[in-house]
Amino acid sequence: MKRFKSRRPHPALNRTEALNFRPAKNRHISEERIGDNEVVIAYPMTVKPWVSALLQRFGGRSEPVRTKKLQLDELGTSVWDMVDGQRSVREIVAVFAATHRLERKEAEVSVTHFLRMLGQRGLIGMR
Amino acid sequence: MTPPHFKDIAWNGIQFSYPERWQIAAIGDSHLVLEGSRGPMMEVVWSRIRGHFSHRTHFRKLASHFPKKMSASISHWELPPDWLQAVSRFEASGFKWRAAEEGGKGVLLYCRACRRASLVNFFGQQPDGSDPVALETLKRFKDHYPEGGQVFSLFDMRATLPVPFELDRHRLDAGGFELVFVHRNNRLSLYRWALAAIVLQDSGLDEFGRQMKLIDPHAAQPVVVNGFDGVEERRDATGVDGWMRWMTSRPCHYWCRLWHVEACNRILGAVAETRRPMDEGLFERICEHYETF
Repeated sequence: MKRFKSRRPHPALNRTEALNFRPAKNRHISEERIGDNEVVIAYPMTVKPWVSALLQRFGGRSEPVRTKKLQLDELGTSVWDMVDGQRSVREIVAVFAATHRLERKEAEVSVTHFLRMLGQRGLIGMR
Repeated sequence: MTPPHFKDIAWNGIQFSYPERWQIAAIGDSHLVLEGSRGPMMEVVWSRIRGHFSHRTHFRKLASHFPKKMSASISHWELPPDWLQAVSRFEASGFKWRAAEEGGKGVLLYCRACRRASLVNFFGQQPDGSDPVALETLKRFKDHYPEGGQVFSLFDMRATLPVPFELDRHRLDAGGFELVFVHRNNRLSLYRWALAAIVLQDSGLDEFGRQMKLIDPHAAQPVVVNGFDGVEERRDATGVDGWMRWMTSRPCHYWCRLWHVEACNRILGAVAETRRPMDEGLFERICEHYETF
């Protein structure tokens, strides 16, 4: 009956703890520069088995892993370039706010939202 | 004068100073939360009082904003002399609360002059019971503007507006702020956009105004606002459109100004939509007292 046991909830992070994390890039991605200010990130995406089966049935390609691309604009690229596994989210926010003369809270909201989006796509992890 | 390491905030009727290390965590029409690195530090709820003021009744009403676990543990707290001195301009009563791991104390302030009640709640307590930050904040707490004109100052923007305009709605997104004020059927909107250097990289202010649906580039005129380059558009609804607008109590006159504050990397905008032609001096004064830093 182990499967019916309720999962232990993840401990809630406070803001300080969340800002102390150091984002690091996924090693399975590749980057391509477009000009000075933009970057295209290619990253592997696992296709769900039932989607793969459906594609195969209708004669499409059915690779289990596909490569997707994501193009970042100038601002996204400036944050992406700071993701090195060494800098914490707090440091990235501070540099971003200073570079673009943004309010700290405003920079924090935009950078954390962007990093969350990258994390959801599996492009970065947090240490 | 703001003490060192303190910032001013003025929002929808109230004004005070808070430590620079705190940040605004939540803003409502009559609700503010400030947070530090460990969580919320201060919360303010305020309201206009109609009729008789009762500390007990209005305390209960204002405290209904607080979380249940907190409001269940609220008890009366006798204000110490230094707190009483700091809030001597108001009728004041103190309270304290204790939830599972945290506690705090605060004060309910009532001003007879403007008939506004404000509940100021401080989270956490110093081990010795003193709280210099709370005292400093309360000393500078104001709930009306005797000088005339209401001030809105938060983050990096500051505006002084004529008193009759009331805040109707606000949007404070990362990168773009919008405050909309109304007075009868007249509407005044203030805008502030960040990252102007990137926004204006490939286009001018008039094109940006078109993207924001504020300015028609063909009708835009160059203008200098507070020493900064900008564009403006004025248009009046005439003919059938003007008649229809007049009959349906909608604004007939539109005046929009956008200007680029290059030193701060910001774009500011002011839009007046009025039933009668906007008083030029008034609009000039509003633009003059709308700044970013």
